[in-house]
Amino acid sequence: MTRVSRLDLLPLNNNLFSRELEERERRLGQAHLDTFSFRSSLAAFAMSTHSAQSSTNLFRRLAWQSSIHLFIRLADGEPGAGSGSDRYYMQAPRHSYLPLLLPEIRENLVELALDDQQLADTDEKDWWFEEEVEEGSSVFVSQGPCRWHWPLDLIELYSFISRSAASSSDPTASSSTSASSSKSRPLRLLLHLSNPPADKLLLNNTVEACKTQYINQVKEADFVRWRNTTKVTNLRRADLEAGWDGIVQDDYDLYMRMASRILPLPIAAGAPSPSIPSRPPSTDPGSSGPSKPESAYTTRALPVKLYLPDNAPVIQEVVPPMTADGMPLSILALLRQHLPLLFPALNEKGSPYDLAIPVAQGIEIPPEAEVAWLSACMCGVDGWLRIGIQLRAA
Amino acid sequence: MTTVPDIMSPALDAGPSTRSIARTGLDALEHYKTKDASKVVVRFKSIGAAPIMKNNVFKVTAGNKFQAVIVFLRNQLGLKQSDPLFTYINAAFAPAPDDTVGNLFKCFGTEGHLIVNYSNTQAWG
Repeated sequence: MTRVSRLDLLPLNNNLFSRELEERERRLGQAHLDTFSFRSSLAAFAMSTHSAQSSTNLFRRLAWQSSIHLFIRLADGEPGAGSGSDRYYMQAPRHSYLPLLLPEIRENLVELALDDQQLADTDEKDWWFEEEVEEGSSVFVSQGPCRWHWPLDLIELYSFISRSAASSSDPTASSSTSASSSKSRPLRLLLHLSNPPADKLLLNNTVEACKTQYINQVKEADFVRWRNTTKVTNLRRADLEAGWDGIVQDDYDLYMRMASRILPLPIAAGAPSPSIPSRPPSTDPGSSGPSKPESAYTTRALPVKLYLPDNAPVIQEVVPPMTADGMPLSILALLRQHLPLLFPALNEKGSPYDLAIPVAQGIEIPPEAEVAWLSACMCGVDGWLRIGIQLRAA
Repeated sequence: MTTVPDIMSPALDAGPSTRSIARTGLDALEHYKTKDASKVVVRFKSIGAAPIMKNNVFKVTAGNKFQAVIVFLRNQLGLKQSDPLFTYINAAFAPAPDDTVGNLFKCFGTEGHLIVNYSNTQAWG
């Protein structure tokens, strides 16, 4: 199991990265993203567009190939529960959605655990999941019924932040150790076959409903960036569909047919386009033409959501990529602005993450990381950067 | 100034069991869990053949999920369970039903209110 432990953006260590990519291409085991070490904002700014594009692509691929381990068990009282075959272990991509996993779960769990009559009596539209919390394992309440329109990354994020991180004063546990030991624990879900709580689930579990939500989240993210959804609505139908199809088929390149036309890059504003031969704008009315990458630092705002444990409200604010002094906004500055009680201004002996730690895509985010960079390279497949706040133990 | 009618805000769920988290962190979390009780002005705009309401401006508690607005609007329009209703913000996107009204207003509000377009057919794919 290879861990990427230190990545300096400049200079890039190409040998390490191509070995990493090969490893992941073979899809052996989990792709763990360990803590990255980011250079300062000036270095990111100075990167050429071409190298920004290839390093961005690397991080996006690494996030794409990250998977979550699931342990699914038929809930007590459901038909088939308590039988020998009432549980199923599986891996799913972090960027996937529960409705997309239903066929595999049906085939490998439900059809094995239920007898013919029970199968005939059950209707897949009544199935729903909730997180199972083992006695004594969690500090906060379980997130309860799992929303169908949440990516697995978010469901896992809530599960992760419902437990405390090691205390910063604990000499034996580094934060990355506690993070990885939590990660080796699978996400435990209970499968119910009836009585879905519609008021909590909010949507039905069809792939169609999930796809509609997905497209709208993509639009909302784009509206945050540019105050309009032109980039999305101007996509050719085929390119728009490729985004969702890429998610369904776990095909990164297919997904990028859409995403590359929407997601900005962490390049300096006004940087020249990468080396695509310049062509005159296409006269084909259906074509969206060659896409010039936008700079993540020039968006009006960044699509970011902050998640706190214990059913606290989601935090969604206007997050400009640059501060008033013209410097890229760091994650620490963002957290200090919106969660000052958890990220207070530094006293001498403390560290910025004394009380709480920000987590995204399964890893801890270093305090100096630029939010614009994170939103371009570590966002979810709908374009949203989702950051969970994990509280530290006493 | 005309009063703007209010819509019902459901109560939050009860608190958790908490062990071993530093007191400061817990207190902070309690503070951040407080539901935002301030009011957001929502302006409903019909699209296409959707019925127009006599009054289309309402106050909504910021801490409410958008789902509450959908339920309220369906009620106001007298829709049956099976009647379709599509809602959009700024004629651009449909928000997730669990987005809070407060967050939507902060990020997408215009001129002191949040514009919610509604239609009985899907207006934008």
